[in-house]
Amino acid sequence: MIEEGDTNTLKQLEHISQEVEKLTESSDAPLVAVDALDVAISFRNTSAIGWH
Amino acid sequence: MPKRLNLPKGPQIQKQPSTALIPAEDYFLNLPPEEFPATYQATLSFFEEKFGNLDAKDLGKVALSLRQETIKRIEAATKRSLICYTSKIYNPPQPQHTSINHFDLVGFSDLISTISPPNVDILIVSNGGEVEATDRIVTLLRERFNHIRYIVPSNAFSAATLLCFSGDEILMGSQGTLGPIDPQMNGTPIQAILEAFKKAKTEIELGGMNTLLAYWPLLSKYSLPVLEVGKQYKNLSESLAKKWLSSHMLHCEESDQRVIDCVEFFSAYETHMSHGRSIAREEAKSKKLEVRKLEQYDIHDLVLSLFFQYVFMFDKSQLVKFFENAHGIHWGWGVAPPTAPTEAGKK
Repeated sequence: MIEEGDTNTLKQLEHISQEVEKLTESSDAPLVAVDALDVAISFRNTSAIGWH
Repeated sequence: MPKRLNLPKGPQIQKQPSTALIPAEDYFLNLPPEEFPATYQATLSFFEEKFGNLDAKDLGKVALSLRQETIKRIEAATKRSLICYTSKIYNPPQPQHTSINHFDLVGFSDLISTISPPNVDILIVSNGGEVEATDRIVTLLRERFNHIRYIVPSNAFSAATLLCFSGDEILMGSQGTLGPIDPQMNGTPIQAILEAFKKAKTEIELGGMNTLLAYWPLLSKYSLPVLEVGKQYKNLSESLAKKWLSSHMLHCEESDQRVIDCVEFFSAYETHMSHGRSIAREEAKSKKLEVRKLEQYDIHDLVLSLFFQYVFMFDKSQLVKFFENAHGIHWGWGVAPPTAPTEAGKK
């Protein structure tokens, strides 16, 4: 629960909202050519397939 | 029998500096056939348990090594070169990023530049795309190769189905699917638009001005030139299908009844009712396409493994499309990661 005047939490929420906005915008990001030697594969990079 | 490689097992992996576990390019040279992951779950486990402690770039290199070894083994079994054209078919960020388009000419050109004619196998995973680009790809491939075999472990929808029509044969796995080839306009089947206009015309003729007013908001969405373009687009798709089936797969005249029936079936919006409808291998075979069951070939497990390795790569990276062979080409298109905000931007 956010208390009145809790600027810290509000700032954090604003930050999260900006991050979400960035992620949403990333779907409109341009495509770039990537060599397989530079492909980063991460288990943290989960998509909505739902396996992890 | 090659000496069995003592691969590190997940639970037994000692915490070591990341670089100590990066395998050499030929690390999987002696991997026993039964250890190639052949399901998606097995693929996840394979990489997570054995290489889960690598950083993302190193894991990318390990995945590349395994794919390269898989492709080489398929080539050794078939005695034919294999090129792989794959895209993120599940949950793509933007469908147009993964569609067959004119940029793919660059990728296909790269792929075939290191492959000797006259024969080639093409592993294709795609939800489709632009018919014009497909036409250019077919021209490029057919100028170089006499015998082309498409390998379809999963989706080869729409324009990818058309591409398969330009092959001599299609090897399809049990999950492999072709799809209708009726063209779309902004995601709506052109045939549906044409049919709707035909229906509107009939009803306006019968109902007069009041019916016209009722239909007006719908009719005003499309201009007459757009309708004409739509008709021509449908003709283009069908004429290419006829040309390729007659020249490459069925070796007959375009007027041959097999060609006419096949194109009619794959173009029939009213039969399939959805552009995303699956046309599985038995049905495709019944339409006289040269379809073979993948499991009748000893490359079946390796092809499935390769497919799931691509699904894994697309799921766990920013890549959306990939061109690869075992002769030095392995690159793709990826979504550029969001740039970090600048100090000025933060303020």
